Amino acid sequence: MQSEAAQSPRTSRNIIRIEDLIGSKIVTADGRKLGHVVDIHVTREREPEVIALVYGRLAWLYRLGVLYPFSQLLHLKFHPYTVPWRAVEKFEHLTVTLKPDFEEKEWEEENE
Amino acid sequence: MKEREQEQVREQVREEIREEVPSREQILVMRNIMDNQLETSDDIEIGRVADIEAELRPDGRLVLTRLMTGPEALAGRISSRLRPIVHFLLRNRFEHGIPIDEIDGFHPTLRLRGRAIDYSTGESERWLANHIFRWLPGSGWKEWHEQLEQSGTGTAETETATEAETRTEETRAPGHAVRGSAVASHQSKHHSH
Repeated sequence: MQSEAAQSPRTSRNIIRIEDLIGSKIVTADGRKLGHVVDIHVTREREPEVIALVYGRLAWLYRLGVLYPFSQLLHLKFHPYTVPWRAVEKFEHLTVTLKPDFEEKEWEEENE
Repeated sequence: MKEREQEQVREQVREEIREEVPSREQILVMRNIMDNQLETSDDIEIGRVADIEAELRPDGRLVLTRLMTGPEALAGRISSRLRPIVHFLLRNRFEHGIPIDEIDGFHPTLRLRGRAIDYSTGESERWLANHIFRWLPGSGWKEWHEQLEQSGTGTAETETATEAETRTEETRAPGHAVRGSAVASHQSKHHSH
């Protein structure tokens, strides 16, 4: 059983600027690059919590709010790729590294 | 046959879940918060969100804590390398942070719970209005000031008499919230454009 500290993503500081996170590279534990963070899902609460990172080409359309209208117009189903924040192992040097055990199953489940 | 039906139902549920991203309980940082106008409860626009500070909690949660405004935060968006350079020049003089729990609702404008006077954001704008724009013909500063003098109060109801005495001309100038005064709001909007 891992401790809480071991489970939490590692960063050099506890304070993160969102603008640093946006545009950061997302890499898997084995070094495979998935893309760059385009937007971030947060909860609509008094203390908004980061839920997932949105990445990939479709994420740009999603960020602009035109992905789903386009999908409906073309009668196709497009979804942006997302990575849940709990899958993040660490965020250092503008790179988000994912946990080795989490990446495949969770990512496929949410983005298949 | 039954398995096929079950699989169809499962697929339908998965589809519904996918369609719900982001659900009503979720919002997007870049689309719904960043660069949005900050508006106080007295209808004064005090700036735009330049950056957001988040705190990584020991349990691994990343929680948004403060909305940042100011030139340093903006410079950081162009390039993170620019931030220390701009910081060296400005020394945090124009940087302001607003606790995120001050947000009353995530609408196209971010409505804040407090009044404009409660936030240090927009100080540079107020300084410009009081020291530079006031001298421009047609700025409306003088009329506004006279109206404020006539009204006699021109202060927030919560302000004490001692505070009112020590209050300087600058703190009464356009951009500051005056409860019940539409002029203050109008003046601030006039200067913010």
